[in-house]
Amino acid sequence: MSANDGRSEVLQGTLDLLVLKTLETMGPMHGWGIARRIEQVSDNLLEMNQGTIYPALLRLEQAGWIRSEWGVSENNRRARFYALTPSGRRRLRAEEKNWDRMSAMITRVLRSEV
Amino acid sequence: MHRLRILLKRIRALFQDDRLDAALDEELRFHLEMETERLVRGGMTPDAARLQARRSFGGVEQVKEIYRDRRGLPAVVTFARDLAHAVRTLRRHPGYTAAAVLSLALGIGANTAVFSLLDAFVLEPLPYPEPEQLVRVFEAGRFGGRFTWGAVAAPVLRDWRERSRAFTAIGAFVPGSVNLRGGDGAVRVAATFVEPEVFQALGVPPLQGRLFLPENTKPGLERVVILSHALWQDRFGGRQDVIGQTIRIDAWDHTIIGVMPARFEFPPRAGADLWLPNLMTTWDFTDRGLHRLSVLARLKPGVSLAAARDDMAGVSRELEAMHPNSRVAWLMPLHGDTVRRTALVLVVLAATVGFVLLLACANVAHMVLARALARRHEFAVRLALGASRWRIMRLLLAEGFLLALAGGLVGLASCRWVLDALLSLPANPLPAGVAVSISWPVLGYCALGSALTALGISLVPAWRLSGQKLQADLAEAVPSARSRARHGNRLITIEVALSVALVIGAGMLVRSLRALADLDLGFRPENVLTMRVSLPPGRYPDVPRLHAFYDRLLERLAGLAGVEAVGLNNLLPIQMTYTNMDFTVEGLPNDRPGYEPFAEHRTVNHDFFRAMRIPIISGRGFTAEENRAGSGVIVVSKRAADMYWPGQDPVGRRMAYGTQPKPDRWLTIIGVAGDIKSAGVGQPPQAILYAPYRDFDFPIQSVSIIVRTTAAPASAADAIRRAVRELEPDLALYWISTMEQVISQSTAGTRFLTVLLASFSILAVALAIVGVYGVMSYVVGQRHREIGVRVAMGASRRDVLRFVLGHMMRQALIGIAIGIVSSISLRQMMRPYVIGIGPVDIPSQAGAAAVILLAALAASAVPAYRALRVDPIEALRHE
Repeated sequence: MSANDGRSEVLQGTLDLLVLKTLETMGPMHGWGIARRIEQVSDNLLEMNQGTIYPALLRLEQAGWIRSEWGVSENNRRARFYALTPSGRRRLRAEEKNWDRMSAMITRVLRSEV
Repeated sequence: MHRLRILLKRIRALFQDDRLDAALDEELRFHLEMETERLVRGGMTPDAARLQARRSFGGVEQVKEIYRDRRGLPAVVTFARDLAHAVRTLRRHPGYTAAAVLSLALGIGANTAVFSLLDAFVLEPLPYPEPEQLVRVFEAGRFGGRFTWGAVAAPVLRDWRERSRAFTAIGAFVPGSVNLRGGDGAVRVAATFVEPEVFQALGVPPLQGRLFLPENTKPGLERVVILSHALWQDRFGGRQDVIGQTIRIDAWDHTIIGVMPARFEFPPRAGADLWLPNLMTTWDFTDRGLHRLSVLARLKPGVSLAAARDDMAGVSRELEAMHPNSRVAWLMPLHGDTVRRTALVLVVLAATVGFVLLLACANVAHMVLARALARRHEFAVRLALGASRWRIMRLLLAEGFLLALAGGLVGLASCRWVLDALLSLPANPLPAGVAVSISWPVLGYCALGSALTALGISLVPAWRLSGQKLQADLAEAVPSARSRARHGNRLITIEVALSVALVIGAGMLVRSLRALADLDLGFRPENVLTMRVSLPPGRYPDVPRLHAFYDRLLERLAGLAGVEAVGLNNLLPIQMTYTNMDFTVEGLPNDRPGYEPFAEHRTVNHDFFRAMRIPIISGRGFTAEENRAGSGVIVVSKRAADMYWPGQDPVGRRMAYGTQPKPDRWLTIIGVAGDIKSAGVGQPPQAILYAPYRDFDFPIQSVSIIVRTTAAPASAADAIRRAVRELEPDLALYWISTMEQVISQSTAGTRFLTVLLASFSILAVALAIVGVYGVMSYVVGQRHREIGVRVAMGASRRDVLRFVLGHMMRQALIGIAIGIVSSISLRQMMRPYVIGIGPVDIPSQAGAAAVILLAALAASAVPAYRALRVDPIEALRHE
């Protein structure tokens, strides 16, 4: 419990980014779908418990970047679907830019050592 | 804004718990099913797939927990739960809960009551617009090495008005009283004589009519009066057409020109019933040496007190150049000047009840700790299960919160009753007529006090109990004896220190009262009846007529049966006259600044010294024949002689009024009278000039008559009243009381404080006894086994006693030392009321120490007895 509580902000932020990007790319999805997609795209390199996606989804919804509604899944089951909101889209853009900037800077620092 | 929206969402979620939980369950179930199916499709068996799905998910319950925490406001929910739990716990021990709540209620209630007194009397702003711009202006100087300030002479006030640029208005007022003619005879009411500038400075518009104009102060024109709201209601039933009506004041008809609004009072906190224009006398136009006026001024907007003081310093310098040896102007804020004395009494009171509350808190804190220690297993288990230290502290804080809340509510409810009791005490020195109510600031103070109390009683136990040490303690059956003992002893020290300080304070005040009773006032107050008589200027418009009446009155009274001597004085001894006179000593140049002679001035008849039994130390008093205009004799007091004729006998020497006396106005000193405590019982004797009333041509409309009787003074009152009525049918005697009553009235403040401090220190001792009993009981209970072991190993009864009481005594002695030290600062606060007692007062301090020690021992008696009864065999079996 406490280990999850102490999850670093960076990791939280990364997860948020991944979820938003996934929703942008794939359109509205349910929680399991998002988790699977992230696993696949990251080549299972990202070692995370699937369950952690739900608190992240709650957080994103509270912030107003995604919204949810109940619908029917591809195998006719009741599921909750999440979709990106306009402000979520804006947030994604901003975070992407941030990420690019940060990784460029780190690259520069690392390369300069050589 | 963003955060606020999230917060609102979370609050909303609190109320939808069940529905949201069901939704989450469904969502997670869906997730697990999908993952399971995927794994099955990949080739796993259904059971293995289900297991693997759960494993990749992570802990389902954990996720739900995190989710829920994020969704709602967990802090609120758990706090509510803690409160409910605390309520249940407290209900299970009604005796303990009741005792704790009552102790706290007492402390909080008393503190709230005293604070509402402070709020009403000291903190409440004066009822004028922008009251912080109002100042009192005095004439002041360094006299005999000390800086003192006092009344103002009229010509000086006029100069200030002309020259100063700091004030919008500056004016004089003189409080007094007048005869008001009513339907059923005359009644004495409080009146203040004011210049029109005073109302201008105050800035409160009248409810009806208008305020005084400069014409109103010119003699010979129509006489006018302004009524107070209360008088208007009483006398005229609040009639709307009262303006223009006349009422008879001091045998003259006065036209009512205005009525003031209900909340207005002047002088502040001592309101008069009506206001009259201040009529100046001929003396006021010329004599710079007769200081008798009180002066009020309003600073110009934007002018600070410091700037005004600078301005007036400049003015004083200009005046000094023209009139050498003048006094300087001195400004004080009106509010501070008004509340000074009351503030002192109330601050001492506040400190006292503060101590009592601390004591109550200490007691309750110990109770909480003792019970919490009894539950240490429960806490240790919780800690082991993963509860954070904070959660354990929260449980205890919730209990403390509830106790303080209950105590606060009960205290608040009983506050009104406490206030009424305080205000109805006979020796109440607080100004009358001020409404004391439980206002918002008071409620806020009560809430703050309760909150601090809650923290105080639960913080220490909570901190101690939630520590990591607790898990180690679980291993023992009994927590480490030394740590427990240490905590209990700290408590004993605190309780002893607080009660000792209060008892010493009470002791000092009691001894002050005794000292006051034995004090030598310089005269003999027994068998003396005093009264005042006031002659209406209408029938006695000039000095010769006034003097003629006084002659007749004195002769008449002296002839009554049972009367030994009759004295006359402008004010009674121990009542300080606000008026003082500059004078010149013959042969002594008047150019030593800071030592210009001035003295209290009293006009008396020849028999005054005999009536008051004031000894004549040197020379003689004046005879009846010398009591005439132009006799040129005067008697000075011993203090005046010591100050202005040091080392010589002033008898035979000469002095004159004023700083630049005319050659034919020299007076010869014919006697030196013994000192009297003219400024009040607790004050040192003042320098006094006694002039025969016929030789002093300032019109004195009111005098005090002193009648020394052979038998009990009260019995002569009727005869005197009759005699006066025969002389002057419309005249009313007022303020008739014996000299002893007057003296006791003047010590009201000390008596008030003494009663209260004594009561509270008794309460404090009671609380301390309860506290010590609680601690000792608990300690003996906890060390049951230890005592059994010692007895089994051969300890005698004396050894057991020494073991049990030893710690207690040591801590009590430390507490006594601390208490004595803090009593010194308590005494500093009470200085004006503690008369004749120094900061180190052995009888009070030793007495207090003895009382508290005895109390502590008494409190420990039962626990000690229980310790002696410990059966070693049974104790060793005890777990």
